[in-house]
Amino acid sequence: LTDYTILFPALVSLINKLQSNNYRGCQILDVIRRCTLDGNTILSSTMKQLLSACHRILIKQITSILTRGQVYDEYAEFFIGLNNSVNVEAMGLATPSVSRMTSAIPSRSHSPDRDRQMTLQVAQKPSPMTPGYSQYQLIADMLPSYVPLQLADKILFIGESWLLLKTNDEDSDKNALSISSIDYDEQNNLVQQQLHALTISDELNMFELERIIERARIDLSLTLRNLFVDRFHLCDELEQIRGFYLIERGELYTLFVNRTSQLLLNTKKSTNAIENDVNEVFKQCVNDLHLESILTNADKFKFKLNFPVTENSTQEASNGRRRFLSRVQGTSANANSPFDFWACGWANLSIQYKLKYPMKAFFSENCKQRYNDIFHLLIVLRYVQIELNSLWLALKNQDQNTLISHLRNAMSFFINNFQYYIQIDVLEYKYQQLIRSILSSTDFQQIKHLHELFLSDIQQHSFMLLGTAYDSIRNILSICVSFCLTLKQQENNNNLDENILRQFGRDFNYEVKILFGILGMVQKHNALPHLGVFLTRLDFNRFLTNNNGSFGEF
Amino acid sequence: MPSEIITLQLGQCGNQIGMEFWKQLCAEHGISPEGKLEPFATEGSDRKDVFFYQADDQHYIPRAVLLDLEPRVIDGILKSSYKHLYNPENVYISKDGGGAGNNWAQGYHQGDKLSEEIFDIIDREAENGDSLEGFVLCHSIAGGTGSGLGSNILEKVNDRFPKKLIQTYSVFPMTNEVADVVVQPYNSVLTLKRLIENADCTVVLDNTALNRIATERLKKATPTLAELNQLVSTIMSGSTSTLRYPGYMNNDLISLISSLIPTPRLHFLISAYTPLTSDKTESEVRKTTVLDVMRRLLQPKNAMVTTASRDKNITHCYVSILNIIQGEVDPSEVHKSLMRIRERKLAEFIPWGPASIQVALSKKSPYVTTQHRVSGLMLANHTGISSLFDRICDHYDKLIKREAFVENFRRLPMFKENLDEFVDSREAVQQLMDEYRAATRKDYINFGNTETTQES
Repeated sequence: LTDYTILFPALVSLINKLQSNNYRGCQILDVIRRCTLDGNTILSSTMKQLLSACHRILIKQITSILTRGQVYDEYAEFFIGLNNSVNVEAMGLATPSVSRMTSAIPSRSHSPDRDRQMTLQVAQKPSPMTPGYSQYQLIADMLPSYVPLQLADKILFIGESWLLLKTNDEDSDKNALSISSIDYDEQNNLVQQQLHALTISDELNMFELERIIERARIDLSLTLRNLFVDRFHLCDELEQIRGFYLIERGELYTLFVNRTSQLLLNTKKSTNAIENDVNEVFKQCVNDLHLESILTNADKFKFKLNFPVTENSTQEASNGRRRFLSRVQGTSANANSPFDFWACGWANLSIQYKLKYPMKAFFSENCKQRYNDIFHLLIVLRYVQIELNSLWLALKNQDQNTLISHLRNAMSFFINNFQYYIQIDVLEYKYQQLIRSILSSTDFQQIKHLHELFLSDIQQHSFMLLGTAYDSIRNILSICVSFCLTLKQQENNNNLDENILRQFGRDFNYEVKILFGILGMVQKHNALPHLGVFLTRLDFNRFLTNNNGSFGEF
Repeated sequence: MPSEIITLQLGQCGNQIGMEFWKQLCAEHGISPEGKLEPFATEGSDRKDVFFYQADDQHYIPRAVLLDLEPRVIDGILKSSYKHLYNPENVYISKDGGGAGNNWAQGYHQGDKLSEEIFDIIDREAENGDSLEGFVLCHSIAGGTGSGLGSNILEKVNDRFPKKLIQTYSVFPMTNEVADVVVQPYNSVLTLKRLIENADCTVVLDNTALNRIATERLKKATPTLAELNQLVSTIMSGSTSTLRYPGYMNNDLISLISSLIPTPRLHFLISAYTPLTSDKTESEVRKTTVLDVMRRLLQPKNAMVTTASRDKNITHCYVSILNIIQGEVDPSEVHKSLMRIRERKLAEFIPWGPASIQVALSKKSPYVTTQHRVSGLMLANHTGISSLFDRICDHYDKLIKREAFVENFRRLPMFKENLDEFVDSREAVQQLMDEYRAATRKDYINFGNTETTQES
């Protein structure tokens, strides 16, 4: 009986602890495990037996997820549970890579859901839920301390994969699993046996558990990868996204910009009517270019105008920028207020992409946000380029080389080379890399990760994440637009005050110098090797270097 | 259908290169010689509507106007397998049918007489499209029709469509002493003035260079006219490839031109293409990388213009360069090639402004197989082109000193009173050469600006 005198108090204290702290479910495992480490062999072995019994339940739950993706958890005791909140994102990564644009620099796209994105919670990026679709989440409280987070993530992934495969199964006639080369029935039996074997031994063999789970993850990841790439044509989807967000369909956007340039320039706030107009024009462009048969998903992409709240915009305009703005008298509607390019439609255009499940498992809301961030830069670049080209057209019949054309050339040179750099050295290069990796990979999680990496790389290489440099770029774009619009307003270019022109030139040079300086400095410290690529293009004939980082004298 | 381009083919040479151009385009877009889309042509993302329009029965018709003062060449086209391709209403041969006798003034005069009928066609074609971007003119500058009639049409088109772009593909004559046409220099100089004042961009195709390239590269002792014209059509189709296979940039003519031509008068471009070989064994031995292609494009022997790089102690240089690369290209190679070219100083640039080699990656036709992995076209603005004008002016000066053959011109109205037209034209070309030479110097920015205050 002496054994029990030691045992019973320990057990009682254990139960008291559990009750007083309201431990439930898997939390109990932690407590019991600590008790197993007791020096007293009787206690520890008893506790181990207790733990073993609890582990049997745990393994049962894990087995259920691994083989069927189902969780039977009436009392919410398991660390994987259903996420029944309305806005749920498929396959949110446990440690999501939040768009650094959103955390470091205030993004210009202010959709109503954006503020909620700031919280780094698991699987909670807002997105409309597809009816009938449920999602798993990791319940951190319930995770025993000796189960690594990584392992729990894998289990979560497996559970979600099954949900994905099963839901997809219901929609289509073919069995999703039939495209996989793995026989899941046999596999599941094997897994069940292996997991059961774990429960027999005294202590839970974590290595073995990890191995089994990893095996299951690899298989499912492969199946999912094949599903997405082969059946859902992921690469085609990416191609379409590229066409719209990354302006690969240059001819479409050139036409679109030409047709909407005045409208968007004059738009200061968003209305349904204007958005409809913009989308109508875009649709017309698609038709006029006979692209309806190629861009079959064109109606999934809609333009939206997302203007920041008015107080913010006035606060955001720095003093420096006010200097440039005052020079342009503004469009005829607001003759007296200075023109802020960043408050007009061109700088606040976004694309809303209606993703259907299951593609949503691949493209997170965060991804879409990043695509939009990149799109913002690209569309503004395209707009400025077209304005500068129109100016060339207006100047082409001149007899003399003027200050205007000289300045226009410098601006055009910058914009063109920046675009070449982004489109070829960054976008094309990274995109080809991404597609190659996707095609050669066998792991769904990997390709999803690669995609996220692709987006963050692009942002980094476009200097979007380099605050000071990006500010310079924005200023340069502002100046170019002001310049073009000012000249457009003048009927006869000879009437233009030369001082105004020279001021444009000086402002332009000022910003270019800053940018050149920043980039040069960063390059020196070898932080961003791709900077050298941009600088090569910009400074090819060393004109910038020879002129102290400016485009000459104005 | 936006950014449409109307092609005007004038004279014997103009129509010959025009014909090759349309042949090439049909092959690239999968259009049969009758204008119907071939059954294998299913890849739909190419833009046919820039250069073609579709008739009611869905067949494709070139937006082309074929003009000549004598029937021989056009008749040849209309007897060939492509006879059903063109819009018969766009073909105009003067009723007279006597040609221009290699006389610029004769061609020009005919232009005045026939302009109403000719512009009936051009206007109709211009209204046919939704938004015309510009005109492409194909002609030679040394004969009578292409040069004289061409000059006249050029002036009038520029007048009537001041906001439209006009690009010309102008074939310059061989500049050896013994010329086929004795008054070649007169015709050339007179045409050059019109090109300077009315064209926005002229791609210079120098017959001497074309012959040299055909002889060396294609290993033919005496290249045929067809082979020479093929070279030209390669250039023409290459330089329009970004318009017809749209990618992210250079989707319209203005983008291509504005980046190459910073000042309105310096708009004479040289072109080059590589690899140019029909020899199968060479393609097996040669490896074409982006660097190879870009490097070779910079070599003078591959340019379709013979320029002298040193000319009266002036080191000529590039004002701008555009390389259009087609094929399997790894984008990271582009930057590496740019770096190498810069390191090795393979191209000399202007000192008065920023300049670089712009590299555009273009898709290409899925229906035309090429032997080479990578191919490239260069369009460049090089000050050395003035040396070509110099040679022409040399010959011109020798002739005009003796007033040789001037009688042929005096017969026509423009030269009845005096030869001022000659003087003006020669002056215009001289100014152009001076400006090109000035563009090699740092102070070019102030060229011609006497009123603008100098920088203090």
